[in-house]
Amino acid sequence: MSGPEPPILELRDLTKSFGGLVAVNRVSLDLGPGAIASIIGPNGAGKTTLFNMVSAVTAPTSGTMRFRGTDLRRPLDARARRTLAAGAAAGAAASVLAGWGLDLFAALTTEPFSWTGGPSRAAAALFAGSPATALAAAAGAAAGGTACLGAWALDRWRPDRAAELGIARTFQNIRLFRDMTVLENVLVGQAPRLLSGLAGILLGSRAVRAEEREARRRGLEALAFVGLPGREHALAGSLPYGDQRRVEIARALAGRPALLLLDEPTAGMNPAETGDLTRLIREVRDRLGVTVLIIEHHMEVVMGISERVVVLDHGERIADGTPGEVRSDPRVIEAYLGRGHGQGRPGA
Amino acid sequence: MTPARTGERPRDPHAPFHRAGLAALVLFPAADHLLDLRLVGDVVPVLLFAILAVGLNATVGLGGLLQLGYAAYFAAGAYAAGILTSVAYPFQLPLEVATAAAVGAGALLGALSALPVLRLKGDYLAIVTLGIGEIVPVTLRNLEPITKGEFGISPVDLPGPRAWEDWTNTTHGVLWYYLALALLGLVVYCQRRLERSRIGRAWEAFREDELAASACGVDTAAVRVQLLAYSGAVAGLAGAVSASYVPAILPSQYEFPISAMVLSLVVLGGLGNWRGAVWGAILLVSLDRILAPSLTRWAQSLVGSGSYSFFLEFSNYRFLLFGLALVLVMRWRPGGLFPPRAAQERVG
Repeated sequence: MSGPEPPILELRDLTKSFGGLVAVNRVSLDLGPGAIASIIGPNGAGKTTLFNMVSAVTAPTSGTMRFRGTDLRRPLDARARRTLAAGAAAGAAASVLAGWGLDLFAALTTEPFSWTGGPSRAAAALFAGSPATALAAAAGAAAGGTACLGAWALDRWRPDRAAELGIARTFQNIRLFRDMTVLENVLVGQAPRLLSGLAGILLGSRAVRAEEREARRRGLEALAFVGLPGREHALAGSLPYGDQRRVEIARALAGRPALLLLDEPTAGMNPAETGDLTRLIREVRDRLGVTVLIIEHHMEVVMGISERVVVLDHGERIADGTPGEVRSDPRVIEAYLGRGHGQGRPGA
Repeated sequence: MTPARTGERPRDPHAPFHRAGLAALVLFPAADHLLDLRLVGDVVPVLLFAILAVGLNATVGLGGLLQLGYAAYFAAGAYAAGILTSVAYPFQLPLEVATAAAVGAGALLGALSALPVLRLKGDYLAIVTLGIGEIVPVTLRNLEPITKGEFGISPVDLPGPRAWEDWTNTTHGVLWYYLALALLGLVVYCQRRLERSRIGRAWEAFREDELAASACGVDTAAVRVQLLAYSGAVAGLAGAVSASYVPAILPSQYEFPISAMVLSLVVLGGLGNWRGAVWGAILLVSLDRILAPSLTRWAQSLVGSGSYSFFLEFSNYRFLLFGLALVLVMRWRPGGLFPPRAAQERVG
């Protein structure tokens, strides 16, 4: 820990369960700014689930996340959500009933009340559909629908909000926009920074053109940074595998994030490509000042690049420290190799 | 074709075709006049279908949302224009104002129909759009106090000062022709501006990979609203103009066959390329509206005057021909006649 600098990412008791399976179990983690940290663990340890929660792709079951002091959570807590939804439904129902009530009242008061004729007139009024009923029902449905939608919109777990706050990520299996050009990919990566409005776009206003030029410049810069100059008009899907990884990283960096999450960046790469990528990751931190959190299986990469290694097993954090500390931690060795590894590696 | 290795933008190999097509469209009335074909009026619906195809191409081709109820938005525009201009209603606004309202009505219906599908894609979304395409004509048939039910609305007002008798004079279809062509130009202009902006890129990214797009900061619920509202607005424009051209509105003009036809124009022309959509409309709709009636006249005249053969009425083969054209195109040019850049590189 380097002095009093506040952590960029704080996870507290973060838990995610899928039905009965607890994928991530009460994981707490503080990540200082400017760090390169790795998360390792056997298959199914919950590494990617943790990434998905930090990038707001999936909602945590419980626990809190703070990023640069901002709470990453649903804007409404569960009770407020339920109250709002119930209120909207009740309001809609009430206005429909009020409309019906008007009809009923009208039906029952136009003639002297009689127990024989009254109910049938009331029933007729319910189904006759006067303008008052229709209007009240429509108003109720609109109000209820708007409130439900509002509750949903506020409540939505949105990866794009995380991106706006400065959390960028790549995916385990590369997810480029394959039928778009490389440049278009890195332009989409800047989505939260581009604000031009519809009118400006349709009229081709000067402000919009300036923003577009600037975005292109930043996009080309990001491509040059990852070592892909001159390929901006190629289709992303037509590039070789290693270059696609670089485009994905450039796309993530193009939005100028503060935290970059890399999910197995060297998967499927040969040793030369792995070495290049490791250098690139270090440059991301050194030259751009971006905090990097990596999920990785290549131990050489992990131990070579990380200042800190967090080990997950069965959703729990079992070790956390420098590469040296983690390597000699008996619980880590047990998680990876099983008990009694001295007698030979089981299944190997 | 190999992807470009340099920073140069690859050129569209079909550009000469498109230029020739544009020249033919602009000069067609002159040729028509010289050759005394009297077809200008018949080409107006072709151009209106081209507008529809360009609008639907945004949703299906760029956004990747399968929209099976496009005729509903066409109807929204037509009815908005009809109700606001026809003498049967108290408003009687000029068509220009009503057309603006029709664009708004199409966009509003589009935005509203996006609300139930904010998280849907693929087949599920297609079913909902199919449902909207059914609900709207049924509502128009049965909401008699507002829509006049089966009788429809007639006449719908004509563009320009009322004194312009030319608009009603069918031999002066030239005015209509250039009005429709100008509107097609306007829609294409908007389309091009959008495609090269952050909005169009977000649409394509959404089509390519929704999760990656949202991790880049694209609000995917907003994209759905934008796509359906935009294509709804374009359909509303086409609806107002076509209602005024006919100049009558009947609920049967806005049913599923229209949705299916516009969709087949887009697929045939090249999904994702507005130029393809225009070509698809020109080829298929001309076949249907111009070639088939001429063939019918010719064939019936061969049979002899006074007799009429059902089997020589070529308009009856409309959907057979559309189906055949689609099968042939899918067999020989799976990307459509003019596939977008990406498909060109993959297929050809």
